Amino acid sequence: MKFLLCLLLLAGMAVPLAQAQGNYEIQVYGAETVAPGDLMVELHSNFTADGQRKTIGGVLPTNRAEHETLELTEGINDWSEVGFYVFTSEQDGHGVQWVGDHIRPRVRVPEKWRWPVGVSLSTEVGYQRADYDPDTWTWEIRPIVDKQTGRWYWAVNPALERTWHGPDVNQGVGFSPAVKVSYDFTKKVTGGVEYYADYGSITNIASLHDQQQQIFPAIDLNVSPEWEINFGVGIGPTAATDHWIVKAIIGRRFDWGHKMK
Amino acid sequence: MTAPSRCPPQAAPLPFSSTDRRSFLRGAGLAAAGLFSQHTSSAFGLSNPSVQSVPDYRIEIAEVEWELAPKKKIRTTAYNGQVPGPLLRVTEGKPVNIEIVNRLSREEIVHWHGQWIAPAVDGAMEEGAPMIPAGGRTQINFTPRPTGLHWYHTHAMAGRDLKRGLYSGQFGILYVEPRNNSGSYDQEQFITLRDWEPFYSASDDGSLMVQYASASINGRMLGHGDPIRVRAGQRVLFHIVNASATEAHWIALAGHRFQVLALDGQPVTTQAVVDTLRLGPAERVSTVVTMNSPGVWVLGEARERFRNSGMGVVVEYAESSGKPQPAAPAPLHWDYRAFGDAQPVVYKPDVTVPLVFTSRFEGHGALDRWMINGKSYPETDAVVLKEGLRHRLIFDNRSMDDHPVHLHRHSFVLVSIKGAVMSGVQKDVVIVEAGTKVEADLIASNPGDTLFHCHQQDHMNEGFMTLFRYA
Repeated sequence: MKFLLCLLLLAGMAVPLAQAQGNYEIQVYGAETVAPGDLMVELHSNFTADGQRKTIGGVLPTNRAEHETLELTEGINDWSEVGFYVFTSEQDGHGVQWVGDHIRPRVRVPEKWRWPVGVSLSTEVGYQRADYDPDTWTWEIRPIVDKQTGRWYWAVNPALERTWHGPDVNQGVGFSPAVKVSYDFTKKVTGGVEYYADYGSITNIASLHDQQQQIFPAIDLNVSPEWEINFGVGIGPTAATDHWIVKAIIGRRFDWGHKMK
Repeated sequence: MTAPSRCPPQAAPLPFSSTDRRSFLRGAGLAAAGLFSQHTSSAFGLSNPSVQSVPDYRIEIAEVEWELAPKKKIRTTAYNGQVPGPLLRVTEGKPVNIEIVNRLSREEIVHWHGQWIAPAVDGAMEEGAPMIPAGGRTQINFTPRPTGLHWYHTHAMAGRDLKRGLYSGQFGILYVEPRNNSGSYDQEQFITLRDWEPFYSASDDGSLMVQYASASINGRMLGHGDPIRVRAGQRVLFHIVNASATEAHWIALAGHRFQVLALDGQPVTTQAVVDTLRLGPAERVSTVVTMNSPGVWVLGEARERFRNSGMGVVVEYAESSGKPQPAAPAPLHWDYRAFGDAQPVVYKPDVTVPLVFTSRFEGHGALDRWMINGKSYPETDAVVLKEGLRHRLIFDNRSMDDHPVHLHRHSFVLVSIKGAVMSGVQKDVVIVEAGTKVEADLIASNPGDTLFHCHQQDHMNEGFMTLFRYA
């Protein structure tokens, strides 16, 4: 769920604008899935320091908004998991608001197949309130390819999106890639760059001005197998993008005693 | 404290009795018929190839397609076309002659794990034993000692190749029978634990590690080998070897308990009864189980995920039927001290040898580099032993992994585990848990270069080895 919030939908434009970067869950997915029977609980905290300042097309501004997303992911077996999201937003004048929910099943190529890269496929379906995204029902399919070699890691998520209900229902399939490259400075500290984009319709790519592009220098702290910690600051250089976002992910894995089994 | 003992370690015979010769012959497979024949070799060492004495055993190293289960075949390298290799049953103090034929296109070597023999035949090139060239053969002689459960396996380095070294099927049991064999049991079973189809798994929390897609006991996945058939009231002696390249295993037999008789072939002073056995890579346990719970059970990994991979064998009582029942999940607990003296007696060492284990992180997608006293093999500093002296080996594991460390050609007596004093347990492999210390006494009594290493193949490959040299 990367591109939930629409920033601009200007009537009369020849080229539909790209969807806004969804400031609810900002994460490049790796191919690994949660271990069978384990539950991963993650809290995504994203603060838009400099974003959309006006209500446009009935969609509330993002500037100074704090988005908290609870993500629960249960490992089914060694090649699948199901994730569930609760999106919330908090900003002046609106208080804490429920934004929507998504469900995200994901399958992967098991490691024991010994493919040279990690491969998985995620699909995400969900609802979000029209105050936060005019496209209230959306569907995303996200191929994921990654590889860890020595200290280097890269992941590519060429995600495709489809609106089921809302103004973009006739836009077709949108293309929203995400990429991450990182380097292990130490066993516990990994630093890298994450890139998120929304190019609009895959058959009618938006102009650069109307595309969304965000670059996050980010660090991952590998303090424990039970914990996942990610922190980054995002820069949005195009007009259609929130310009400054601070993001943090804190995750805790619960194995419910499965390791003993 | 008493005066230091200068006596070499002696192994007493295990308190159990006679051999089931038929099962031995079944297991021996292609072993030569002249099993216990006399021969003229007077000293252990490599035979002169021109002197073709009749071997007691012949081991042929070759590629094989092995069926772990129906529709589950793997290609590996094995001894005599079988996994595990033939059971070699020899007699304490009675010289044995073994011919090894290498049918591979690469050189190989066979290590006689747990035997107090000469470096030339121990089967480690680091000690000076010659590799067997591709397509070549050799003949070795040695006098088996100590008694008990030991094993033989390749000692070739695997590097990053998950088809070589201990990742392959090159292993088998070497059982050294004591000259005087007392005690009683009704049935004897040899069990080898093995993980198969290894693959590298990267982790954002740790480092690259080896995992496995399947596992077996005696070369068959759970449900696909012959069951072990027992009768109520029988005492069954299990000889269990963990032949895994990297994994420690917890073994349980649902509805039954294990009376531990020996560890690494050496009799223990307290035959404690436990629910679960822990065996690190290369560790061995000889244990007797009284069959007092009729039914159909699984002897196998206590942890479900390993059992699901195939690590188990069915134990079936006569006139019982039904679905084999695995052991219920239970806390996993193992303490070497349980098998030692109730009142530990520790001798004063002549020499103290600190061995500090550390790792160097090379990336979440790379194997750690391993070091002993700050250096990786072959840059490690050799430990100098003085013959006849008691050396206190201090295994100080400052890493985040457990290490099953092994000393070739010798045994050591455990003196302390995590600071708790003990005695009465003699081994050649001991698991040093992450962040802990184990102390062990070694009486230097078998001159020659001696290899010391972690028995995890991936750790060995990444430098976790050093040599002990006699002054």
